[in-house]
Parts: sequence; structure tokens; C-alpha cells
Amino acid sequence: MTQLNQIWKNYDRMLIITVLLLAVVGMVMLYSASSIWAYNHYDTGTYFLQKQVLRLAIALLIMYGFMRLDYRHLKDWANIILIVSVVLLIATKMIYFLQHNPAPARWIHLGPLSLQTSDIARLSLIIYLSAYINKKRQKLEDFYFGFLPAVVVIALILGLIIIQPDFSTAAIIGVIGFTILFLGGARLPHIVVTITSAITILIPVMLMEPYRRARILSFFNPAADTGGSSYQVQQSLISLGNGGLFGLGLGNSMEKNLFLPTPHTDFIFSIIGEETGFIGVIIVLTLFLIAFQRGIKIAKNATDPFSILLALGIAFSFILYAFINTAVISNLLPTTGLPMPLISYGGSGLVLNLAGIGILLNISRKDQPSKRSNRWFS
Amino acid sequence: MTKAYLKYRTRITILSSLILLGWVILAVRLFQIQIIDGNDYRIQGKRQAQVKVTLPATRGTIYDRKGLALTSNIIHYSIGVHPTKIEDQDSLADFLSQLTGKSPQHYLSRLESEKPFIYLERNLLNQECESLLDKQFAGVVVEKQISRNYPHQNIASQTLGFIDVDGKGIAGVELKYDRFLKGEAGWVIKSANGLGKTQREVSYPLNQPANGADIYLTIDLEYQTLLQEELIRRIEETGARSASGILMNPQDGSILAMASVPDYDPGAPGLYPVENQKNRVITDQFEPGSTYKIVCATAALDLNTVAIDEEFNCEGGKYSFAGKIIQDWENFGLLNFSQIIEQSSNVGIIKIAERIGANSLYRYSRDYGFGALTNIGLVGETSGILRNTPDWTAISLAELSIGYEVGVTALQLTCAFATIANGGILMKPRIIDRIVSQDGVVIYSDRPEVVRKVADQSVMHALSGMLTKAVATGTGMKARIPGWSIAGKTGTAQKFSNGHYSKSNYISNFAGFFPADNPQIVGVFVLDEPNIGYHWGGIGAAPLFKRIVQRIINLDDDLLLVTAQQSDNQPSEIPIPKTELTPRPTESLVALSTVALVTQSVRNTKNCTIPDIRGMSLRKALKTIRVAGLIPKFQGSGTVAWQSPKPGLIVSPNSTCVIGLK
Repeated sequence: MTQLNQIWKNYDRMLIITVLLLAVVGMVMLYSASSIWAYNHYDTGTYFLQKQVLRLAIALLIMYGFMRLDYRHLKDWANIILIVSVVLLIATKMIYFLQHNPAPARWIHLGPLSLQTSDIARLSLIIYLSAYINKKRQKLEDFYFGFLPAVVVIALILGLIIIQPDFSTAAIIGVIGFTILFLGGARLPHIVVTITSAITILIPVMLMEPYRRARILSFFNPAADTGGSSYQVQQSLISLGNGGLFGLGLGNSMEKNLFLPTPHTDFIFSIIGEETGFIGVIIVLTLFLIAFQRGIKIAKNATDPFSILLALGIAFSFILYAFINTAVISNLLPTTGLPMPLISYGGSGLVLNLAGIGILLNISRKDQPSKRSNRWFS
Repeated sequence: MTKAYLKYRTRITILSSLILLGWVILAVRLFQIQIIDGNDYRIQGKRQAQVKVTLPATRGTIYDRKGLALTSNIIHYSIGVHPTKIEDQDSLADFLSQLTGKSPQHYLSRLESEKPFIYLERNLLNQECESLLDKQFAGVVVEKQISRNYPHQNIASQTLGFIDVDGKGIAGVELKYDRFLKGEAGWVIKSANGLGKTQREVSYPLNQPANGADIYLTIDLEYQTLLQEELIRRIEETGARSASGILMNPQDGSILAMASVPDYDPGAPGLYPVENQKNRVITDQFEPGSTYKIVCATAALDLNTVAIDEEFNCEGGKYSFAGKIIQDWENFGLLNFSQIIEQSSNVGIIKIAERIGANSLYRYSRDYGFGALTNIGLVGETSGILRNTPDWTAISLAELSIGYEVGVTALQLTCAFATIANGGILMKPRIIDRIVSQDGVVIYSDRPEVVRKVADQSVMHALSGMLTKAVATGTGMKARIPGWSIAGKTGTAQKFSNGHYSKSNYISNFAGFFPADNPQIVGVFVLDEPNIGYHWGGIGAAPLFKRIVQRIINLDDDLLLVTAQQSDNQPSEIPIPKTELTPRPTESLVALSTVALVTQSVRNTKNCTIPDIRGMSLRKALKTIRVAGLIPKFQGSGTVAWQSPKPGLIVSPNSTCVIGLK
């Protein structure tokens, strides 16, 4: 009890409440969206719910761990963390290659938990870049000694993710990386030139994959073929439209009745839109916005660039996924395959997002020892 | 706000604003989708969550005049499976094995298939399949098909026609009356999920199919069957290329049977030459030869140009008309009018034709309906050829009088002889009696219809007498049935081919009616190119009349009775205005049907005459007695050996008549 009291007093309450609310909304909607699909494929409507509840429990434990871990240790370990995640990316690719597994090399299996190595890399990169900028400070404005090394690290991570292949995740991590560089004080011309040249190089790569080309083409004309890539988007729009202002009520979605394939993953937000209406999706989006604002609030109270950038990086990464997912289901962006944080089914995003939130909460901690102690947890 | 933070403040504010902008953009977008365009998407959603399933209408049945079905609809079921989607193989296999009697192992082994879809059974007739539909086995698809069946195969095939795989009429009645038969498909809205599985919802709309109407033909299945049997037999005997025949009720124009052989099976039309589908009695025209002499004879009698006993010099069977030598089959000397018809003298009839003149010959030809469609209401009818007098050549008068230079169909010839038989009224032939909707309402009926009066009854009576003699002692003797008076005329025509009349290819035909004094059936039979010898109408075609009528007499008790009783019950004459050449809409002439009159008169008489039933079968005897208005009692078995009271005795109605059988 004292522990809870202590958390209540010393951590950013608002952020905790917001995140927990999102997790609860996620569970309820996951059950609603997945039950028919689960019943059809696994004979039990709670198949996905059971698995996700277990994952949430693990993720909350991990979050609690990071809440207690003095985040300042991360600054020293940033290089190691980055190297580990690079090794994981390479190792995953190797394992898939050696096993002749034709699937994209995205997953690493750790006991009951499966994690996407790109999710790990994302958090690692945020930590690394924050630490890097903290070290370089004004030198970041120097292209060769400040800016370029950071870009090389980002490019390395992105390259490894692109060859998985997972272009969408690579792109979004790129956006996060450059945003941190931007916040950290990198010169705008540097950023613009780098991004422009990166895009010039990557567009042909992007269009090489037929499925990606199809997604992009169908984005510009979603009604053209209702059987292919745009089918999901079309169903998603129907789903949202069905919801109207107040929604059809929990459990009443028509779309999840097997029209929308795997409604519990990337397109779960459209089911939320159908069952809880415009009101519901706005509330969820606002919760994400609040979480981001808390991130900024926490950054405001932070005393060093590392803390500020880490807090902002985590908060930005969190809301960016939510926005991009919403943009996809409302057909503002081509289908990316990116999940809705804390809501979509899956353990990897959940664990890494809550780990990030844990770090963020740790930054917000009021009773932080003034000097970094040798004790890791307190 | 910390000092450290201040350094980053500007850029954080920019990011913050961008995020806020993102939120606004997304909110606006969602508002647009959910509120502004919401209705459009809702409609789309409803549309895909509902499937309109058509409910096929059952095609109407075609019946004969006694209500015997000439077509039937068979429901087949095909059972297909997606083998990988089957959840419970054992119970499905058990279910199917109960359905078909095959072993469950048979199905289990088929279910192992790795193909995405296989048919386990095709065209099952078992009604139980319907329950498979309800059971909703996952991965099982039951297809229901309704197929048209023609249980009597070749019988009446050219009249019935057939349908294609889509259920559309392709020929015959099936084509002509398709709009009545096909009915109207209904539909039902079912709810569907994303996997295409549909389910009936009670609240969803349902529009039951309107099944097709039934058609009752005037065709008699038994007559039709024996007509076709006899035609086939005659082809085998005579080597004719084809044979066709019509049986018609002359009183109301009903076609009782109509066929040409070789024929085909409408259930498998592809197995036969397309030619066989032709209903030759209406589609093919031919030069009839001597059967056409009735036209000239009618004109001569009706115009009082020639007396029945007036004699003509038949010039020893050779006569030069407009430079062409016309020959008789025999070297006739003096023949009177009646004998000319009886013996079918070409020379004689040409001399009569010279007397009546071209205009009259043409007019009576038209009056009889030659050169015009009969409008029987079947597809493919030809009007034949009858040229008007301005187009005639010098010898046309002679040629026409003996049945050349004129193209007729067997049906036209039948109608003409029916006109003689019924006392001068040309009836429109009818084959559709009525069309009855599924709720029993008669939606169409082809009432007997008078086309026009051709000549007075007395004229027809006289002509009928000549024709009776032609069968009794003249050229048509092979059509004679002992004990019955039959009127008829033979026709033997050389076929016109390659610009001249052939010496080896003939049309052999016979037209007649029976009984001559109160005709019930007109029969016309045509053999196309029989072997020489059979080419004579009197040799080739006439026996068909005899055989068929004889079989009908044996078959039909009613007919026998009517003819036995008919002598005093001539149909009362209905005044019919002699119409112009153009047919007018005419009043119905049901009353002409003697059958109705006779039975009525028998029932209404105060006293009944005991009929002679000795030697009859029990069935026939019982019917005879009942129709006579008496109550039968019988003892023993076999044929009737004695009866009490005696035949010919006049008794009060409903008296008992005891019969003994041995």
C-alpha cells in the first residue's frame, strides 16, 4: 500500500491514469473485436483476450521495473543498448535465413513473449540519440562531427529493418530519429538535405516490393478493387461510417463479423469507431494527446538534455504510432501495418510501449535521488 | 520549466503544434467519415452484409387433354465440399452414407482430397439433401438444380419442343409459351458475413417465386403415341424418308395428335439431327396431288355448276390441256362426277375445273385456308403457296385442280378435310386448350374459333358421300375398316425437283375422316418419297388411316358410344354468315362439339335403350351401360356372355342391367 501511495505521490498521476485507461479500452475493444474471429478460428471467443491479458500483465511488470529503475543509468548504457539491439536485428535475420523461413525476419522469441526486434531498436535508438545529443550538445550543429555520426547510426538501424523487410517501421523509426535530432538542435538544412537524399534513395526500394506498390496505388483509389489491399481500408471506412456519432454500442459491430480481416490487430481502431462512434475515437485520440502533453510536461521539469530528449522521444513515438494508425484506417495514409499502441493485439508493441512509459514515469519521479546512486532500483 | 528545457523550447513548441495539428486533421477526417459521409458507408455496409438470393420459379407443366403430364420437373442436388474446411468428417460421411447407401469409408477417402473443392455427389434425386442445407455442415455446398424431364421421350416431341440449360424455351410450345411456363423467379435477402456464409433472417424481405403456369394441350397422349408408332412402322415398311400425320377433331379444330418421324427426344435433342426437331406438319409444304381435288369438287357443287351424276368423258385417261398431256392412272371412259372423285380421275376433274373457271378455283382454295397461315399458335408455321390467278399460266387451272402448283401443309389439308367433315365450317386449328396459373386461374384459353363458312352443309354432305365411296370402292380402299363408314381421298404427287417433276420421288398422302356420317376424327397422313409401289396414296398412306383409326376404336370406348348413338343427333345448324376471304373475328362454336350434345341427349331422354354389350370386356361393358343411363350388375369373369334385359329394349333410366361374364 505504501508503495502505491508512493507512486501516487511521486509519479505523474495523469500519465499513469491515461495509460491505464488506454490499456483498459484496449482490452475491452480487443475482446469485442476479436471474439467472432476467435470463435471462428479457435472455437473460443476469448482466445485473443486471454493471451493479451497475460501479455498486459507481463508488460505492466516490465513498466513497473522501468519506473523503479533510475533512468539515468540508461545514459551510460546507451551504447551497449544500441549494440545489443543491432545484434538482435542481425541475429534475427540470420536465424530466419538459416531456417529458410521466407517470412519477414521481424520476431525474436523469448519464452512466452515474442518481441519485434524493430520495437526494441526503436526504444534503443531513442535512448541512444538522447544520450548522444546530451554528450555532443552544441557540436551537433557540426555536420561531420555532430550530425553525420547520428545519421549513420539511424541509417544502420533503418537499413537493418528495411532488409527484414519492414519498410513502414523503418520509416516511422526514421521519423522519430530525425525528430529527436531536430529537437536536439541539429541544423535544419542538414536535416532537410539528409531526408531528401534518403527519400530519393528509398523510393525505388519502396516500389520494388509488389505488395507495397499495390498498397500505395490502392491508397490513391481505395474503391478500385475491393478484393485486394484496399479491401481492408474500404471495410475500415464502412466500419467507421457505421458508427456515426455515438456508435452501434459495444459488441455490435457489423464489420467485425468477418468482413474486416483480423479486426483485432491493425484495424481495431475502426471497430472502436463503429462501436463507440465519433465520440469514442475522439476520446481515445485525446487520451493519446494527453499522454503526449504529459511527456512535454515531464520534459519541462527535466534538468538535462538527455532527460528532456528521452522524455520527448518516448512521448512522440507513442503518439506517432497512434496517429499513423488512425491516418491509415481513415485512409489518409497508405496501409502500413503499424499497430495502435496499447490497443491492437500483440505483445511486442505493448511491452516496449509500456517500458517506454515506465522510463517516462521514472523521469517524472519527484523523489529521484539527487545524485545517481549505485543502486539501480529505488 | 528548467533552464535546460528553455534551450529546446522553440523546437518543442513546433513539434507540439504539429502534433496538435495532426490531432485536428484526424478529428476532422473522422468527422467527415463518420458523420458527413456516414450514411453512404452505412449503405455500403448493409449492402455487403446482405445477399439477394434468387429463388428459381418452377416451370409450368404441359399436359395432354386428359391431364396427363407430358413434362415434369426433377429436382437434383449436387453436393460439393471444401475438403480442408470440413470440421467433422465422420458425421458428414455418416450422413451422406445414410443418404446414398454408399459406405462412410467411400466419403472419408474422398474427403482426404487436397483439392480446394470437390463434388461428392452430383444430381442426387434424394429429397433428404434438403436437410443437408439446414444442417449447415461447415465447408459443404449443396446446389439445387431443377431440370426439365420429358417422361414420354419422343412422344409429341416436335410439339413440346425443349429448353436450354438456362431453362429458356428453345423450340415448340416450350418456346412459344415460354413467358407463361417460366414463371417469375423470386428472391430472398439473407444476411452474409465476410466469409460469404449466408443465413436466412426472419425479418428480412422475401419474395416468393411465382411458379410458371401449366399448359393443357388438346393433344391426346394415347392417340399421339399410337400415331407415332404407326408412322415409324410405315416408314420401315415403305422406305419413306419421313412420314407425318395429324389427327384432328373436326368439330372444334382440336389437334388430337400431330407428329412427323423421324423424331427426337427433347430430353437429349443433341443426339438427333436438327432436322428431326421440325414439326413437318406445319413447317413443310408439299404439292398434295389428288387430295386437293376436293377444292374443285366443292366449288362445282357449291356453285351448282355440275350435278353429282353428270357424266364426263375421261378420254381414255389422256387429255391435252393447253398443250400438256394429262394422264390418268387408268384408262377411264365415261365417269360421272362422283365416280371422278372415287376413282380420282385427273381428266375428269380438269374438265370440271374448266367449267368452274380459275377465279372460283382460286376462291375456294382460299376459302379452305390454303395459302394462309392457320395460326395454330406454334412456331415455324408456313403459309404454303397459293398463287393468285393473274400469276397463273395457261395450264395452272388444270394443275391446281389436281393438286399441283400449290404448296400446302399437312395441317392445312387437315383443316380442309375437317371443313368437309363438320358440314362446311373452316375451324381454326387449336393445340393449346388452356393455360392455368398455379392458383388455378385460367389465364389464357384458345376457344374453338370459326374462320369462315366454306360451303353449305348439303354441299359438304354430298362431297362427303363421294369421299365415302372413294374409300368404300375407289382409290382409298386400303383405308377401309369393315363395319365403319369412312370418307377419304388419296393423293399421289410427283415431287418437283431440279426443274421438273420426278418420276421416282413421290409424295404419298391420304386425308380422311371417320365415321363418315358423324365425323369425330380427321386424319391426314403424308409419306415423303416412299419406295415405288408405296408411292400411290391409296397404297402407301391410306393403310395408316386404317391402322390408326382401328386402334383408336379399340382404345376409346367413348368414341364408340358416341358413334353408336349419334345417328339421330346431328348437331343443330348454327347460322354462320358466309364470310369474305378475309377472316373475321368470329364467335365461339363450342356447340358444334357433338360429343357434348350426344352425352347430354342420352342423359336427358326419358327412356333408355339397352345397348348390346355381348362380347365386350367387363370394363367396356360397364362403361357402356353407365353411359346409357343404366345401373350395371355383373357376375362371373371374362367377356360378356349374356345380358338382361335384352339389347334394344327400351327401359326407364337408372334401371338395372345384369350382365354375365364367361
